[in-house]
Amino acid sequence: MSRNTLIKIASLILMVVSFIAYIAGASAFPIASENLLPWSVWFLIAVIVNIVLWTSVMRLLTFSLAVIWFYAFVAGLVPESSTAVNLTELDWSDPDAVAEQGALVFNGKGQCAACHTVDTTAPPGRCPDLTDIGINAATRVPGMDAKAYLIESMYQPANYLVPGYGKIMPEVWKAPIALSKLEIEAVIAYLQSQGGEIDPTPFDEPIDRADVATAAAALPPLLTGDPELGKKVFVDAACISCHAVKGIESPAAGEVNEEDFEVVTAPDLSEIAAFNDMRYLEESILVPGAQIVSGYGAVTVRAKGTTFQGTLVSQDEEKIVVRTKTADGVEEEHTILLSELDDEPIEELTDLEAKGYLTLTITPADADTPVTGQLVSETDEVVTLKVGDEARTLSKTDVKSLMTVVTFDGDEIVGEYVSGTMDDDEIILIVDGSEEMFDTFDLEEATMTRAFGKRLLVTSPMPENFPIILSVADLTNLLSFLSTLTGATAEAVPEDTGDAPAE
Amino acid sequence: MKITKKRLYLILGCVLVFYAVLTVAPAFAQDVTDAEYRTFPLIGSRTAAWIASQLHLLFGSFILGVPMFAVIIEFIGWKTKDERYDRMAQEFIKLCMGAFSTTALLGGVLVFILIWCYPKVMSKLSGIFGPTMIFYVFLFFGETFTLYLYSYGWDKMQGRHKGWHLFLGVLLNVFGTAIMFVSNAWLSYQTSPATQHGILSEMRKKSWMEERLAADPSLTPETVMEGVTDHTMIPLHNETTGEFMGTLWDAVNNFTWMPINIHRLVGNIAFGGSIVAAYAAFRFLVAKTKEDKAHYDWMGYTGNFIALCGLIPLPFLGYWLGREIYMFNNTMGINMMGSLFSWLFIIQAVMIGVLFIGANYYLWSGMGRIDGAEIYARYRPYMITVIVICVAIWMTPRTLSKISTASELSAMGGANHPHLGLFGLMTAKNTAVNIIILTTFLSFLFYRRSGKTPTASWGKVGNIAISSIFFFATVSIVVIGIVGFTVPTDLRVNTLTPYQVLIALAVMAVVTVVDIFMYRKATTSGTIKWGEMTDRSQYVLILIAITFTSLMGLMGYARSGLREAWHIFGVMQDTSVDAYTPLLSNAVNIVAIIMVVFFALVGFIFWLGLWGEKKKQASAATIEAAVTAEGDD
Amino acid sequence: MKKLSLFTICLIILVGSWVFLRFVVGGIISVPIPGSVIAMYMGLIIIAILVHISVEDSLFQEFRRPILETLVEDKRRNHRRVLVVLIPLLLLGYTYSIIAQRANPPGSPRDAHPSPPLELTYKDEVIGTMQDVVNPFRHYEKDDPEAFSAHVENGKRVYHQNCFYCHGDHLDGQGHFAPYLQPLPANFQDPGIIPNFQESFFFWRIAKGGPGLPAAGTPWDSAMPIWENTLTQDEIWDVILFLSHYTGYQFRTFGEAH
Repeated sequence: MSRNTLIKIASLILMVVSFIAYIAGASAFPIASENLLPWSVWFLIAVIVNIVLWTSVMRLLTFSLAVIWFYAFVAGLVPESSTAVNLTELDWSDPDAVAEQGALVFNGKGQCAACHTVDTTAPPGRCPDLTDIGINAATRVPGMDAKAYLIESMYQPANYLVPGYGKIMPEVWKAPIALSKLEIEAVIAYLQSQGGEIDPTPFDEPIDRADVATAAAALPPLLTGDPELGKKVFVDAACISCHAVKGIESPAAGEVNEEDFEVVTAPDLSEIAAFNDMRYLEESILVPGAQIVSGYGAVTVRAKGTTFQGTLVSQDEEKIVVRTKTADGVEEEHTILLSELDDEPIEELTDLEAKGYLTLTITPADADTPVTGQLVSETDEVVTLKVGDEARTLSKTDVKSLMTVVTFDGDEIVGEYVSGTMDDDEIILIVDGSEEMFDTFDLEEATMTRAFGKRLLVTSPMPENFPIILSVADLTNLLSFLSTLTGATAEAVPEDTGDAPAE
Repeated sequence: MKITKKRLYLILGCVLVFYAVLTVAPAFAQDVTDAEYRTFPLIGSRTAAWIASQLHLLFGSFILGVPMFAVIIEFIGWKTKDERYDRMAQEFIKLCMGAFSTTALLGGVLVFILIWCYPKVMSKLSGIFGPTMIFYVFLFFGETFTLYLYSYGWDKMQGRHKGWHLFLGVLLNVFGTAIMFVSNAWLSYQTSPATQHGILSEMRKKSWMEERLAADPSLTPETVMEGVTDHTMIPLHNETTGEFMGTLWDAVNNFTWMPINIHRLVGNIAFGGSIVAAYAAFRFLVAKTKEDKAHYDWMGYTGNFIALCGLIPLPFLGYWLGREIYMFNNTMGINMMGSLFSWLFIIQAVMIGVLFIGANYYLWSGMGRIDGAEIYARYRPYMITVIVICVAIWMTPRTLSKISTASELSAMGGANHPHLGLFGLMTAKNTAVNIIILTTFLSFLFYRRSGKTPTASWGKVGNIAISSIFFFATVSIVVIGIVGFTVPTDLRVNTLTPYQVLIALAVMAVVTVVDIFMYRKATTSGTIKWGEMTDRSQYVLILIAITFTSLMGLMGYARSGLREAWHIFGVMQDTSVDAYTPLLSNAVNIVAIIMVVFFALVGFIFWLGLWGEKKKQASAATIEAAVTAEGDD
Repeated sequence: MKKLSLFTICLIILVGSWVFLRFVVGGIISVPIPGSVIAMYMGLIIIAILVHISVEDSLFQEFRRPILETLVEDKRRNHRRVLVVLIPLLLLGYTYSIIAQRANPPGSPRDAHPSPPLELTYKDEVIGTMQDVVNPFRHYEKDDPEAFSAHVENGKRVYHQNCFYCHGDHLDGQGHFAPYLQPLPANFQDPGIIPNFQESFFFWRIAKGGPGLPAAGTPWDSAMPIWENTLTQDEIWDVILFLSHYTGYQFRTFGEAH
């Protein structure tokens, strides 16, 4: 055979092989691993060589194969997540096969590859690169072997964070990813195969799926629990270390709270049931940040060269007051003028939790002094502000108010409100003593931003892991206990104090 | 016996196959009792059933589409007394014989796989559709014998009996279409199982009352029928057991049955045409003599013309099918267009873009073989521009979150681009597709006119009229498209879009009539020089055929995948390991495998035809016997 | 001036359309277009050019003449030298741009529209199938305009008490919290939102919020709260009336069957 024929046959073979490898998804084949040239490139090269070398029928075949490949390639460009769930058993007699299944879960249902890379040459992902995680896992936490560390990372990813990476990994065993135990085992085997030895020892899940699933899916009838057991939960689950309840000994303070106790870090719950709905309490336990009691939100403010981390006491258009606690337990209140802030105290708001922290200053038409309060609600006609403890509803149409109008150029113009709303054609303000008209079309979308609407990121200092720690029974008992705290029955409570903490 | 090299390979091959069978055999030795599912070895049940059914469907389309093509061509040949048409039709009916037995074979394989892997589903379906299956068998016999008569009687029935022969051809197509309708009933029932639509018949009311009374003896006829009017929706399935309680006709005449029937019927015409064109292209490329080249060039042109005629109404019919799916179940509709399958329709847009660009390219190339066609070449860049812009609109996805990076998303201010996102809406896409169709029609008009000069006295007026018709139609289609953004969807889907389609169809009808009269006595300055085509244009014909087939494969995935984790949507759940929707990329990979197998088989059948032709001179009898043996499978 | 060669014209068209998409559409007229979409359009334009030049043999010859000349003819020697330097440099730059890429997180693999369940529920109570449930107050629009406007008013109240923080005063998804949310709150003023969905779909999205998104809509990062915990069924229906009344868009309906 001439050399020409050999080349022709070789390129034909390369084309067929690379087509099959591409379709079969054999990207890990040594000659075409992700780092070198992927199969699609080999295929294209082979197609070009074939079209040049061959004639008539073979050229036609090459062309047909290229067209078929092209559509497969185009469709492969769209990233997708699969709904496949089909690990039914793992065959530990062949750990490598388990690791292969784990790789499928890793790249597929588990969506791990969306953030983690397993390739040191790839551009860094959102999460740590997992090359050689099989060895490195053992070195991460002293006293924890590789498998234990990996198990921990899968079930409680926030426990040990790699420096430089945030707390962003979801708990993969929970919805929506919802890996089964088998799938997690397979993924761990796959991770161990990255440079390490696969350890087939079975393990117990460090979580109770059944309870978590039921707690999240179906909220139980609220008050069917046993208040006594609930009280025990209240103490054991460490609620007592932050929340005071009259009559229960606080382990943190070491003394019985009396009438004149000082609020520590969390609201007093002694009379919580008297003025709160039980659904609210339930939400507060399961989603602590959903509603934050005024004065208990945690904030971080940078000013005067230092960082103040503590609870937000109050906030108005000139200053904010933050209460911090030193290492010795001494509480200090800091008053920070807005002008002293090092940076804009606006941080990322992630949910409606900041509702209530928009402060608005409005001058009603029939009053001379402005009213400042937290925005409770707003419609086209009225705004409701919380001023002190009372809610005031003010009409928006007859209001003289300070507002900021941001024009297209980004210039802020502050003036006294005369007339007009965003629905009208123009807004009239008094700026520096003279009336000026502003065309609403020139305004940036939806901006009649309130002059003093500084937004602070306020989070709840309460830990978020109660849904994990508490079983459904615990939760019902706890709620039942809380429902007895109406203040009226508070006298009855101390009689039982003796037993509860002792257990 | 001397062991030649050939024989040695044959023996080795047999041993290998035998070995493979032995290895795989134990996997079949599964629970033989009444299991719900059994696993197909190696590739899994779903993939096995998928490949078998898609191949069966493609071959089915082949033996429905090609006879349709043959009958049309035979009729043209009969009327124009052009021998070429008749010969071509006969050539293809011969090819059909091989394809026919392959279809039957694949159908058998499919049934075996289904019965083996999905016994419960099959028993449920056969319970409902039993009578239609018997009907199917009769139709199948009918089709087989008509095909034999049609094929073998070809030479005998020339001349005086030609009319009867054509009647046989039509009958063959009637049988084929009926077979398709029957099997469509089964699969459309799986997608959109019998929900009553239209008026409730007295008979159905009575049977429903009887069922309810039988189920719960404490009821009386009055309590059951209380409040039941002609428009009451009576559930056709038992809500707990999923048992079907309607009549057979209820099950057959479900929401998507007729749309799928019509869609597939027209699709088959286009498919048949494109396969013929691809065959011609293949023969053109390997042809040695000038006569052969001329013949196959002409054949490719005719095939492509028929394919184009089928292709033009297809988007509208697909739209109708989509509308029916929305009507049947909004969730399914959202899944199809907005959610799980939305990207599939982007890939579909790519393919249809290729089809239309390819079809136009072929027409433009064809103008190269006509003297005097040069005057139309100057319009070509504009037509390319229009088509490309329309294809771009059709391909633009509505939601870009999957293909953008986070920074791009924040730059856009969301997953929808504020302006390009409008192209993602149906009204923009409908407008685009109508304009593509009009442009393609314009290409065809130019092709027809190439090398001819009209002698009609009103030629100039006619041209102005045609130009203004095109202009106003385009403007009104675009205006309707823009209005479509502002009106309620119900109005748009049921009124505006049909108007757009009607405008496009009316333009084509009117312009064709005017054009025919204008050019009736035209002087011809240049004849068509058949055979003087570039090789590139022939590759385009093959591209069109492959694209069309891939599109069918892709749509098979969509139609089947829409059911998600249901065997029968909303009635019978899929509880097997395959109860998930495969990813688009996986699905297209499987479609690619199917394509390779399909074209390998079709190539084999074509090769058989070629081979037979070569030996024809040697012995005409041998080929006859071979075809008979093929056909008897 | 010398007439431009076909090759140059094609090159100008190619570069020009890229500049047009990237800077004119993506900068002056509108907001930037994602790279993948530009790549798609550019692919189409390349195909269009290839179609144009390859339809006729004469055009094809004309197109490739400058390329061949550059490759072989002596007078183009300097062109060749430039190319020999330029092509490796371009490749180098391309390789560098890939390797030096900083972490650029991919967009969300979230589906465009989540698939609704077959059945519409409020808390655990089944209201009906997604297909058939209609807004119980919608018929007032024709029957009793006064009652209708009362319901719309109530919807407006509910909206401004609960929804406007994210979805904005003008229902355009530009509420106060919107810049901090990903995915962004729905923009009801978009012609592709309200007209494409039945009211039951909106009821489902409002009632179940972000946590109620189906598994296929992962990852879960919608901040939409579960409103069925706070709002009554009637309030949700009222707010839906308000949405279409305010924006002027009508919800998807399925008029008469056939």
